[in-house]
Amino acid sequence: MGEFKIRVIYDLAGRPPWWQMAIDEAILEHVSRGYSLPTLRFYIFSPSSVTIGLFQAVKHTVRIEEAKKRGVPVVRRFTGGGAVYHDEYGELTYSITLPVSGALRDIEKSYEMLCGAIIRGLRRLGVNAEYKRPNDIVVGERKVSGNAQARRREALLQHGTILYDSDLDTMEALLLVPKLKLEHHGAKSIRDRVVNLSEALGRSVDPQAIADAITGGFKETLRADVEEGWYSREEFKLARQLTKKYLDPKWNYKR
Amino acid sequence: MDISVSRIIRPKGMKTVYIDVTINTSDCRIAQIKISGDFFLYPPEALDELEERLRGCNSEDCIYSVVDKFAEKTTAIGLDYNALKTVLAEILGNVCSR
Repeated sequence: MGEFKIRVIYDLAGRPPWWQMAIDEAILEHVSRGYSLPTLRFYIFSPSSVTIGLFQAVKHTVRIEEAKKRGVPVVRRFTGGGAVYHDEYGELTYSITLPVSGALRDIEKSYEMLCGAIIRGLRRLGVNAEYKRPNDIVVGERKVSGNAQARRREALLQHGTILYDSDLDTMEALLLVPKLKLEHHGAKSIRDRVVNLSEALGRSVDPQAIADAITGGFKETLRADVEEGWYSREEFKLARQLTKKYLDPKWNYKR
Repeated sequence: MDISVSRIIRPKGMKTVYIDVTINTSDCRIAQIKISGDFFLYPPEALDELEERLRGCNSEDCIYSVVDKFAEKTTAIGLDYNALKTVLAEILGNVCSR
């Protein structure tokens, strides 16, 4: 038996970015007030979308005209970190929301611990993934997962990407990455810097299989029991309200 | 007259930080400032407060004092406060010595 119970939500049908951010924030609010169980959620952005970090400026991070031309929505997250291209057919996102206690109190240690759960999951799939401080998971030198964390009261939410078959040409067309950042990682282009699971494994892999493996990684890391579930009515209600924020240009273009 | 300056900094092991600052040259004050990037900051609302406090700074001492106070009450990952205040002071110095 594990030390505590985690609700797992497999919401893989695909929903727009404003909804995905709103429901993540609603879950954090509910877990932070003790209204909801700690929650592990897996989701897919539909249509393919770009999210940018809480502190990023749109003009420095996204080719906005290109995004508009391609019908790719751009939404600001409530977590820090960098811009992400969420390919509807090649990227799985997870979020884990937990009360903060013990090792999770230290922010940097908590990144390492929760990324460790993802790494355990990826290793179950046969990928030799490793943690790269402070918030990345890499295969070799290339990033397969970027992660970002928000804290509210005595709870944290960490969400992150798992690239499994993302269109890297589209990613390069949409995201602006300064030369300085690429050089820092010894890369010349985004393509040199990231890797899909399908390439790392040499075979295709579907999102449910990835989600199952990562659920196993969290069970092991957190010594938790998992119970499949769904959003509560109250979480849905709050998410509907929060959706307005993530649709508002004042929020999305704040910086 | 206002002069706008943009800088990108990425000290080793840190995140990418953009500094977009406008200096009013008539009294050599920071008129507008936006700090952005892929760093992490807790609590997140503190960044707006930092920018607000930096607006109006007209000396290196002011910049250092504001950033140092901010550093004491926040936890940053990937945002190097020393690099931030050094670059800001350098921008102010360069613009105001023209």
